[in-house]
Amino acid sequence: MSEFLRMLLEFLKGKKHWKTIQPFVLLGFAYVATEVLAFEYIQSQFGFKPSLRLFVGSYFFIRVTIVFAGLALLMILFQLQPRRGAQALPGKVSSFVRRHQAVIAFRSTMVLLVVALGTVAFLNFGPHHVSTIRIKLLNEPEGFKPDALAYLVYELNRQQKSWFYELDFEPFNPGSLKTSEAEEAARQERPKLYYSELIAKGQPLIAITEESLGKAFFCEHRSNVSVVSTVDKDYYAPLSTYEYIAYCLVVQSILIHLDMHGGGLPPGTFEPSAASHGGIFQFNPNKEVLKATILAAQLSPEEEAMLFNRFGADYMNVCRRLLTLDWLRSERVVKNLAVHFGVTNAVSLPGKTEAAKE
Amino acid sequence: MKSQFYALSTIALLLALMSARGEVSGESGRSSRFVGKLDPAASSMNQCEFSVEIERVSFKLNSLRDKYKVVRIRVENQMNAPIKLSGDQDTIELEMESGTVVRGTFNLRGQDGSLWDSLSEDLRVALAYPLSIRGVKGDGVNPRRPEVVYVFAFFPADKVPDVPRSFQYTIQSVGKAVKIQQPPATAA
Repeated sequence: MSEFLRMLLEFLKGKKHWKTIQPFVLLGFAYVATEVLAFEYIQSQFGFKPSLRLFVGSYFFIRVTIVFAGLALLMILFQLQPRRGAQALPGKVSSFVRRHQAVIAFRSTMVLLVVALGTVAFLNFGPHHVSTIRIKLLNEPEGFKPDALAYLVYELNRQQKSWFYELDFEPFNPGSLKTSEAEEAARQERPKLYYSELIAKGQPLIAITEESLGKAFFCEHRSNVSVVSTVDKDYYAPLSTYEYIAYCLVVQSILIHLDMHGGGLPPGTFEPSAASHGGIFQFNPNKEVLKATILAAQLSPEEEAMLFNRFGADYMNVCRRLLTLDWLRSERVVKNLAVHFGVTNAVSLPGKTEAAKE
Repeated sequence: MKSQFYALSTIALLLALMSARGEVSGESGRSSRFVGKLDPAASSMNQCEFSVEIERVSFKLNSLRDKYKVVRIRVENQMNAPIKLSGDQDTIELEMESGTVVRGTFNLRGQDGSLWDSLSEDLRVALAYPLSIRGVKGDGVNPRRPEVVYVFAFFPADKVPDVPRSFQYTIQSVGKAVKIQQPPATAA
């Protein structure tokens, strides 16, 4: 590679306009070096090696390109020289400024313009910020302990800084609804989702219920709200309800963030399909598949690319890590749940299932 | 120093005696207390207690939009099992001193939707009849305190001109009616 570059430079030096293009050649080399450094930064900082295609489409690459494009544009514009004023007394700053005022004004204006345009483009192609999500119980739980759930939610907050959960401990009471709201809920095909939207008031919310969602399996989602149901525990057993809820919280958070801040869900999300690779945005009508999806939790390359580009490498990495539930199965968390909350079945171990406990 | 200590102790003791509840107290304006138990035969460790406190003057003066008398019932569940509640199926009645029985409701929305809708959201949340009362579950690690829930009952104001004699609270899920009344006066 270095031999090739040396030959290229020798070739260019022999050209008539070498002095003119030399700054641009140097800028080009600096651009390539910066992109390489950005690629290595992603690997070292986030432990994630993007494919070349993913990197070229990422906001890292685009932002570096914007900066160097701005610099190149300034270099071109600076080569345009306005006419200088009449010769003035040498050695005086004011004389210098008076003589070159057209040039100074032109270049200052061009710099400000390019910086302004570059900043707008820079921000536009950056990762989106995500919001705090509230978690609300739709009924008094019987299959899990609210205080143990609170601990898991706080552990999720501890594990990452991309977003935060707030847990509302007071179960929802439909008796507090207005008459019109109660009547509307009775007409709704998805009353739990309707309740959640009323509670959320436009803010992100994940509701947890132990009741059926009707035709929906496990979870349902609409714009800023999601509902997670534990009624089908037989299908995810011997995974514990805590493992199931933790997994669903992460997945539903991603959906809410995409809908509220990331330009919407990708096409085909949760469309029924008999074939599945275990992606988090897939829906398989066979309920037994959920258990396999949770156990082998992973983001597909397309899902990684989408999260990387919409919310940044850190967010994507956090999601990848949280979905595996390794943090929940760690010795510290399992011990805390057992000792402080009396929950000894928080993680599924051979021979220790919720069914066996019952 | 010693005399100051004795003086302060005496004052503190007198204050404690004065504030202690007792039938011998001559304080006017004190609240009437009504109590009842879900299962009078059960031990205190496996009991669910109901209590109401009513101050006569404020009870006579106050009502919700001049239409309903509001009675707050404190429910303390020391049983292991939770108690399911239903605003439509559970019933509440009171008996006046004259013997008149007045039926109340826990479901104000069903009774008077327009009044219910006019209340603020935080009031509706506070007044809504709970779905259940948690039981005391001992998990061997953290003993839980008994669950205390406040339940609001609404009675037609025109039929309840004074403090009632007793209440009868029927919980459908346990199939029992609890009589909530003033305990008998203790002998002097």
